[in-house]
Amino acid sequence: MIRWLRTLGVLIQKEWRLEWRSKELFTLLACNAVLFSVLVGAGVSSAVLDVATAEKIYPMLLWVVFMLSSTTSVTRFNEQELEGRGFEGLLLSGVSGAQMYLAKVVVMTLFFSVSFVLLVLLLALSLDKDVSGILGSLCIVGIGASSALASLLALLAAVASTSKLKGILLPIISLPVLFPVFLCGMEMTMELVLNGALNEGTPWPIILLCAETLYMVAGINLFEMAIKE
Amino acid sequence: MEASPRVLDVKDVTKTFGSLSVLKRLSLSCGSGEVVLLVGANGAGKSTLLRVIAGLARPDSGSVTRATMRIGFLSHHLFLYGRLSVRENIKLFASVQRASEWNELVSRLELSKVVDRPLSELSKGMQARVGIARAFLGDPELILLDEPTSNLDEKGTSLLLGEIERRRSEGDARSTFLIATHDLHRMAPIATRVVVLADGNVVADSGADASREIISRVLDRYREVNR
Repeated sequence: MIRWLRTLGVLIQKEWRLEWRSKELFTLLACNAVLFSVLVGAGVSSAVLDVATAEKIYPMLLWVVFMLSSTTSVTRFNEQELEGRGFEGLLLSGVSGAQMYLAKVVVMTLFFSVSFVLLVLLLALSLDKDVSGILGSLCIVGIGASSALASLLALLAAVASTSKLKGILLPIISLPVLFPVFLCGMEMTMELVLNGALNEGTPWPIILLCAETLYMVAGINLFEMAIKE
Repeated sequence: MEASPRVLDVKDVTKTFGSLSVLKRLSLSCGSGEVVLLVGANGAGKSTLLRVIAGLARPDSGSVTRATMRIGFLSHHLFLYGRLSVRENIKLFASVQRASEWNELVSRLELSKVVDRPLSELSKGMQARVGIARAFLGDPELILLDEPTSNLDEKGTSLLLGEIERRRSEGDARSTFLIATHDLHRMAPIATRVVVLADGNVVADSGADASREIISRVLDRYREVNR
């Protein structure tokens, strides 16, 4: 088990290095976050919405923007694996598909979480909404949703990576399957915005956890099949 | 003479890509310590056979039995990461294989001067040397080389041949080599067996531990057919 975890650690380091050298995922996430926030801000202000309405639509806008920006940004996440077919070298070295998948999920979760925090702040700025009181709770919701999102997108990015249409294919196949994450994230954010805390007995964290578990089980079992010839 | 233990047994393997049948019920066995040259025209199925043996491609039917999980594979793809440096690449594969000898391998293949440069900035020949280092890491018992000399200059080729010779003469467990190549001039002298592939099947086999004369005869026949 320790050996298995050590290998996972080595792979996480590799994923981090690759992303650090290219900065593709982070640049795309940050650019999309800024772009979508400005567009949403401009749209809301031109619609002349009152403060109360803008506050009510904040959770929905936040999650629509987060989902869109995440799914459109990961299309190139597997490019470097495919360029030199490094993943085949790893498979030959005895690394399992599950380890490769989990390493990608960890690094993706990290980047999605940072992008989520950035989005929360940018959208709050665009809609003139004060989120300082709920920022900590929002970040926890964001990290939970980011890891669920990463669990599914790491698998689907691998499935779509061999297609010439991956840029279009990935958002099309992932957005419908990600609906539970969207719904859970939005409902929890709504509760935080309206009440300042999550309601006792709220089912959404459990539903999010179930969705994440489902994605992860699928990813661990299918990732190797998805990347192999 | 006692037969060497079998390292590889390929039985009735078929592989198709769409409507193209690349391997047609191909069978091949290799014993420990053999150096098998796989020769054949382009499209004969050499690369596909090596990928199936390595476990990177699934056969449509038939079976591949390997007596070892320690497999080294050098292919047209280097199985490396262009954005990582030579050191980072080799250390990555050495770490996951728990191979400690990567430093010696890097210096034997004369990569020490470029060890901190990104792989993508190196010439094709130097990249191929890094690919050789990766394939030979962790003392693999079965080493598959697909056109290993195609990007190598004289120096690189002699380093590769030296490394192959080293694996054959040192240690208790000798490595078995399967080498798909068109470079008969440089690779034939080290072969202990020649297998000719055509149209997805074995059409000639010199047999294990063949004499130089038999190997030359099989290769002459192959050259004649492909003239």
